[in-house]
Amino acid sequence: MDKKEEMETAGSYTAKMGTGTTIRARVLDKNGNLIEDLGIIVGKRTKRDGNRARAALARLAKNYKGGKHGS
Amino acid sequence: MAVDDVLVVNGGRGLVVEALLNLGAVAPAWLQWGVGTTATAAAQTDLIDKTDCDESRVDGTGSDTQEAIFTYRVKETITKAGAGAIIRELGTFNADGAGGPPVSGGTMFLRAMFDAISLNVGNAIEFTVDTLVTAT
Repeated sequence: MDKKEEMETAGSYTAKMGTGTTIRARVLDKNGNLIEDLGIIVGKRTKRDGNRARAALARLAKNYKGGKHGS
Repeated sequence: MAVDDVLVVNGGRGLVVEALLNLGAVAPAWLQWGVGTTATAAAQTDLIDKTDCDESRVDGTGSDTQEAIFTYRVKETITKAGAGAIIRELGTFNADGAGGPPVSGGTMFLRAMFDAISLNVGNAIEFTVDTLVTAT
């Protein structure tokens, strides 16, 4: 990662015990193939990665079939 | 607005002390997800809402990371079964739990909330949870 790149948190981040904790997430299909790499969903990340994650989440939401429907 | 909230809850702090005192604490390596939207709070002992989240907990086998030895890592994949759901929260526990589905029990170490992840049946999320032991 470029050290000069501007940083952001995934959202409003409050320092608590566990500060610095990060959670990364990769969404896979039923065969284990990567659908979306969301990167850091909790914790500090670059703005570029944040934008990428937001776009990925929007794509997942668009393809969401709802609660009891099939894959 | 993005959601980003994580907390080592009281139960988790107790596990740390138990481990330091060698009282037989079991590593919180089991992951479970939910759809709850309530902010984290120290007194919480379980996920907030497990509607359509009947999947078993998965054992991520805790480890330190190659990148930083002061980081406790749990990495594992949960696969959506039964019904699609919009996942918004994640917890780490020191047991696979019982009852249900959805399962409950054990001690919750950490609870996190994040932006909605829309999952259809058969989709999965590979989570990597890195809890830092920081000095600041």
